[in-house]
Amino acid sequence: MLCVGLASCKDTFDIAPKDVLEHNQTYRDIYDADAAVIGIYGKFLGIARQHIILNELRGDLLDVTAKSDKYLREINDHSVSADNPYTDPRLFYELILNCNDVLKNFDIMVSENKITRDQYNQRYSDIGAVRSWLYLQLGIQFGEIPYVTDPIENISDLKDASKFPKIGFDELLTKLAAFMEGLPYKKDYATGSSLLISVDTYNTTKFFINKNLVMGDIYLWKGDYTNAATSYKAVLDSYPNDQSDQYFETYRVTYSNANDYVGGGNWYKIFGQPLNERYSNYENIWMLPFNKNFSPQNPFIDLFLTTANANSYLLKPSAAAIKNWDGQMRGNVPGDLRGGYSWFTYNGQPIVAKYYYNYSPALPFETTSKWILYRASAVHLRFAEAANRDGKSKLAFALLNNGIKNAYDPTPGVAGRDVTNIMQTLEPAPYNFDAREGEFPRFRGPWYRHTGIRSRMGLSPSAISPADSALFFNMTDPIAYNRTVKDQPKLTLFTEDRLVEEAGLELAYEGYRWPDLLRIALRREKENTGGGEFLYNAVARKFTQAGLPVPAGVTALKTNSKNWFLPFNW
Amino acid sequence: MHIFTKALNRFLLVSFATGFCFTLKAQEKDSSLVDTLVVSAKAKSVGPKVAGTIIDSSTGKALSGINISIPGFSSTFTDEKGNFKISIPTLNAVLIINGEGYQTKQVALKGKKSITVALYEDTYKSFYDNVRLPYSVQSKNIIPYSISAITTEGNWNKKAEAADSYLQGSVAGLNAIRRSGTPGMGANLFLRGFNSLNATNQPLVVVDGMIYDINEYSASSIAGFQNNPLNLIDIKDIDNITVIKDGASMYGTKGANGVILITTARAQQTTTKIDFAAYGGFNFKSKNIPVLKSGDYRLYLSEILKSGGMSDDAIDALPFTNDGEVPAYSKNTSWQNEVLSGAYNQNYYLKVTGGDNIATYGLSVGYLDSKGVVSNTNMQRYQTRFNGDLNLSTRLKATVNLSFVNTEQALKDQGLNIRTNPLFLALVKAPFLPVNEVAEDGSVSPNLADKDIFGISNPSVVINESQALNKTYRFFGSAGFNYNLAKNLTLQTLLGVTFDKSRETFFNPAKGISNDTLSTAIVKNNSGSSVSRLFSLYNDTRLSYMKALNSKNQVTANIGARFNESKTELDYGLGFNSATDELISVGKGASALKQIGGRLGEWRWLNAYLNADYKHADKYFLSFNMGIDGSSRFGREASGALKFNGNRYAVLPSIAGAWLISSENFMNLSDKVEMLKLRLSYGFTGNDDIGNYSSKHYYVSQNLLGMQGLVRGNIGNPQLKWETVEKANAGLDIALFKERLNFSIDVYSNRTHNMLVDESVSVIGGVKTVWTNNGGMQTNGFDVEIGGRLVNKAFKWDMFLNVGRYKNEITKIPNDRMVSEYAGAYILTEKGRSANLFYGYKTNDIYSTREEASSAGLQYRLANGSLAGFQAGDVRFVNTYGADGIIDEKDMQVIGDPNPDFTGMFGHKLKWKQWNLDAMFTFSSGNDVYNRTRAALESMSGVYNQTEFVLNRWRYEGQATNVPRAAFGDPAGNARFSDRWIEDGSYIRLRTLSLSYSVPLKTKFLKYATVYATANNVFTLTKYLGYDPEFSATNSVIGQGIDIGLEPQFKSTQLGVRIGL
Repeated sequence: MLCVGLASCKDTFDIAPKDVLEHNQTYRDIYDADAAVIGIYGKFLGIARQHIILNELRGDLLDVTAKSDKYLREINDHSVSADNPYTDPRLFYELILNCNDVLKNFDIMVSENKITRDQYNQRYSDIGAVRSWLYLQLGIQFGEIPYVTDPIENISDLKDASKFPKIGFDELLTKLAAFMEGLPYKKDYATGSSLLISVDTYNTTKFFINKNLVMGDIYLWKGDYTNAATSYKAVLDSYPNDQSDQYFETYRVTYSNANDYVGGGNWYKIFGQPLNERYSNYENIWMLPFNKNFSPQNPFIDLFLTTANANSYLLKPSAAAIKNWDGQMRGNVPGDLRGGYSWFTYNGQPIVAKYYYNYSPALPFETTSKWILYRASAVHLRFAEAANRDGKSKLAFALLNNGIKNAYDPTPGVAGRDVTNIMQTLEPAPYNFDAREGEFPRFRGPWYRHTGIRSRMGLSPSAISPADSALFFNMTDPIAYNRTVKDQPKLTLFTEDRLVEEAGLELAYEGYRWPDLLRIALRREKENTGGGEFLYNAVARKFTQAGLPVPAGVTALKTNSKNWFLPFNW
Repeated sequence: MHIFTKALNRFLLVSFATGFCFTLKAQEKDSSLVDTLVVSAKAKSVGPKVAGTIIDSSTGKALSGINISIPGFSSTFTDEKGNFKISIPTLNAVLIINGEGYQTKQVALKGKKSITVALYEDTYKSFYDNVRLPYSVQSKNIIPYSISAITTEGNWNKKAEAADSYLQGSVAGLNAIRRSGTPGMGANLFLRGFNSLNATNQPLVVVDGMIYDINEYSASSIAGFQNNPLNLIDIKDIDNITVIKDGASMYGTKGANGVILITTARAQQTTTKIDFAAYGGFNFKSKNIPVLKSGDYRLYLSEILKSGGMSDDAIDALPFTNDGEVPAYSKNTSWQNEVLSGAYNQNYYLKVTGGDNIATYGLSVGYLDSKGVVSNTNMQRYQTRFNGDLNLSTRLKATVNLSFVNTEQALKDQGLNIRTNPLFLALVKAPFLPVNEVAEDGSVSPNLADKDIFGISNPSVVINESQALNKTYRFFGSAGFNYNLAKNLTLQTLLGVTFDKSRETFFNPAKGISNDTLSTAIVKNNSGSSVSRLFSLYNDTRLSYMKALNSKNQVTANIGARFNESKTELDYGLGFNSATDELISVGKGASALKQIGGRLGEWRWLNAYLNADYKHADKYFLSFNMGIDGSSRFGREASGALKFNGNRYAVLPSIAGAWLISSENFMNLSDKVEMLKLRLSYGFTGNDDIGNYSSKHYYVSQNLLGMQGLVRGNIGNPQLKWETVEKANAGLDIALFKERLNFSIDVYSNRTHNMLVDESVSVIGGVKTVWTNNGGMQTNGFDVEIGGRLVNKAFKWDMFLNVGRYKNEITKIPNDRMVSEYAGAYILTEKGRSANLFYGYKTNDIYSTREEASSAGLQYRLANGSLAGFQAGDVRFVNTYGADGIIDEKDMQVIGDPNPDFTGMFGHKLKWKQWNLDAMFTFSSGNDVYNRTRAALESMSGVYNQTEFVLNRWRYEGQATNVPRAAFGDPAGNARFSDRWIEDGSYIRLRTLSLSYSVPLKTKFLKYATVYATANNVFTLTKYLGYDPEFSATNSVIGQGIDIGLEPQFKSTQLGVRIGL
């Protein structure tokens, strides 16, 4: 009767959730596809806090405060207990799960013609790159991790642990590189894309990940330097023939209009200006917003600053970091302007200033700020790192110090020269840089405004002392410009040390530090040039400079590269 | 009143629409006895005859006009001498005896040819009482299930309370724990302990054949309050209640926690009866908890501030340090007196029943105004109910049940809300502060004082200026038809709807109430409004078959289906920082801070059922029940299920048998044993409260700025299914000495399989937990019900006792262990133990000297991970995990069990002439309670006022005391969750005491008049230090026994009169 009637209808019990959406209510058209992309980036903001803590506190530049809890101290001391919440990779895997789900459904959508191939290519590659970035982060922190690319829909998919074996970091990098190479689209979203919009006064252009940077990073970690340099160069060469300030500032670390120029005394604007895709945000390539009116709330304020919240000011600049900045010279003037903008003393305590600029303790709820994930200086330093390892130490020095034009000029400062054959690297791609600036004949090479990281800050070059020069160069030629390299391996190591020092000065507290140290340590461990020593020395300085004993966990970094990774027992 | 008249109009409309008209004309008393048993004397009844006499059990007088029958065979009446003679089919027949004003009784002849039967009055609780079951009405002495039946007799002598509170003490094994003293809040019903960790533990309630949804689908926006649907049933409307404790398989996946069948007022006779009752009463203020007075508090405050690092000079400069110096800090206010007060309650009720041989009806209207003990709180209820029974033709009958009940409640926040809970504020507020503003010259303003120097709200502002209103109504109506297809075959159907709507609004002003903090602003004033709805459609259709195969064997069978579709909706808005405290609606809040939200739910449930009862020789009874359930909540890959057309169905059978041993001939030897029955039952029930969508994998919205994206909401579990509760029960029903002593004892075992748990999953799933069926628990126990008549003369004295005991054990849980947190308490759920044990630190006095502290050598961990040693004056925590010498979570152990050893009731009923005296005592024994309020009032860690206990706090080296030192911020964790706050929650309470007097009347106008005097919660014997040991802060198993500071139970009295017209 009624019972049979109801039961015979297959859909009697098929009730669609009302305040959530079932699968068949999603992924129907391009708007759903965009919603999936927006969802990923919205959720992505949730890992900001953990990302910064793991990547900075494990390094040498950030230290704990009296208010730090036991777990932060464990991270700082490199002795992590099993239940340390900061080492729980769940947020990363939650995002990965979502990426996997999106990728699978994009495949279905394009096969069912719900989105065009072009729309698919752009969105699939975007989310694919986000997933690769997440895996790279997990690899950096944990070394061995399960690499899952299936969307886990049901609990039964999860039950079989053998389906998700852990793979080593090298294998992971190989898989990631292959996946990234296979992506159908490597550029930014094309103009006119429905994802490039203005929302709540923000332009979304810079919210999305840069695929070439992810590829460059993966190759750099893999030790595939030419490919790494090629990928980074693709970023540096974005809009190669455009001579506008915007593209110089964004990709070519350079001077431009003095008022908006983000070097020298304006350097802090990189962090201090509200998120915007123009002018003072040119330097920033990938960034996401924290807006006080929308969740999630800016996690950095409580982490770094003294606020009304009793649990604020959990982390502070390390004594070693402060010393680094203080030790720099601008001609005869000591000190690095970036130090003063990266940290300062507030109420008698040193605070990380990079997260302070948009905040005032008098207006505790004005927390709107931004999370910078990649900026031009970082690309330059990583390109330089790859170039240096590829035997192009001179190019690395040019990027680090005073720019291509100056470095590749045997007679700098002479006016009215024919510059046809100078001011350029004359190297094959990806090391081909043309920085020519001459009047007769007139040249304005794409890199003619390039200044170098240190020169931009007015700092003296991170130079090789005459005594050291003899170690690396053939000193027989009296003209320094013409000297050939005698000992390239030593020069490479020396240059690499300078690059990583510079990264500490330039990029501190932005989430690059521990990966930079670890990458170099792993590389040197492989070639037997003291990876453990390198990592130990860097991290131990944090304690010795602060007058504290070096914890056992840090000492253990010296002995075994297994200790460099967090335990993955989740 | 508007809603009430609207409701009345609607009801009248409906009544007329059904084409039903009834007369209020009084009719002659019907000479035929109306009874549920069909009496049809057959002329050709031949066979042996028996003779007998019927007498009154207390007076011994012969009773005339008593009906004696053998259904379907013969029937007769006693003569004026009480004698009768009747033909019987065999000498083993059973006689059914009844008469007006007397009990119905079954007598097995067991070969006797002559009998004498003594009858008790019809209000005497007996095994021969008729009991309403899902498919029939039967005499309790032949029912094979474990059931308890309550015949209410109108509840005229009871205080108006929610139906669930009313059940407290009435059923052995039903532990009804009243949630709080808030009027109408009702009780959590735990029938035979509990069967689930995460799904509901409340029994299924069926009112007049239709499921009455008592689940709470959206939490109230008023802290500590819970909308209680059972408050929407007036207990005076209830005719009877049957509680089925075992094998409720007929209700399939809704029957796991037993079933409560409620039948509301219907006409018993066609005679028109009009009852009017009016009551007025008084609720007494609770006794204050002794907190410090101004002088002692001032000393304490100086001490605590000093321990926080303040210098003597700085303390001395504070305005409150020296008494009398600043008038605004020189009062001695008893804040509890400001927020607690005695109050009046009143209740009016009218019921009309009657009809004719075509239609009978029961109609009631009522009004209740019950004030709470927290000042300015009250509950008003307007209600109307109409039940009709119609004989449309000889074959077709119809029933109509309609009720509309409306409540309006003025409330205050309770419990964990320390900003606006007046009761908690009254305890912690500094006593030297004034209620009203006080000027520098000492003059008192009529304005209430603002929040104080410590940022603590003024409790009087909460009482007088804050608003928290709840308005709820429920329409619950059904129409049923019953068609007699053939002699033995009946088709019936019932179609009903529930529409329930609850609207809440609240406002807290800026002045007088402490600020709150949002992530984007400081909250000064705040407002809220919400609407929650439940709409439910219900149908129950079945075919019933009844056949006497021969004189010895009888079969009845029912096959049918119940269908339920429900929709719930919650919409809410929160507003903050309106321009002034006069603008109290959400819409007036600052627009940037407004929050809106809501939830939607929907589910369908289909329960196909089969019931077959078999009776042999009136001695052996078998009952088989089976439910086959489909639900939108079940996963499509649920295992152990019946598969049909892509859906999974739960198959839940049960069987029950009874042997009426006393009807065997060999029992003739003893006339001491009136009735002896052995019952056994075994079967399966289910619980479908597993979440509407947990089995599906779904998406939820995720914002990026103001853009809405979509992300995965969960990992679905398509194997998710109902919880199965396997139930076994053995029981004995015994009546001795001609029913002077009756008792039942039941032993049971309930095993929950596939229990819903929130299981942790591998990190690569990206989620922490997934709902699975990987749990199990078991509850064993027994219930005893004893009743009897101690004195059976003109003065009658009946006594009752019921006791229930259960023992719960977790049999399966992922990782074998789980620690939950609620209200600062830690609760251990561990395999092999009860589900909800208090888990904290054990203490052993305090360190009274530095020497003691240092020689113990124990340390504790500060928030930043560093270690510190305990000092003199700190609590001596027991170091269970000794190796490290650190008091930390490794040292936590079980420190209490909120489950009682025994719960129950004992009562007396005395009757002498026109006087009746009822006394009911309820008790709970052996249950531990976490007194969270006291933990705040004795923590000595901040500026909160404390109890007088702290007067003896440790102050100097070697002081002999068990009270620790005052230390700002409590660095050593002296106030952590420990056995210091665990108390014995046992109590015995005189729950109700009522005296009634039936006024002898000589007038024709009035049929009867009775005067009632009733007192509730007259006294409570307990060691508990809080206001009252009875409370239930959540519906969850985890959270029982935690006193979060709800409004306490209070004493009340009422005087009332009932008039019959």
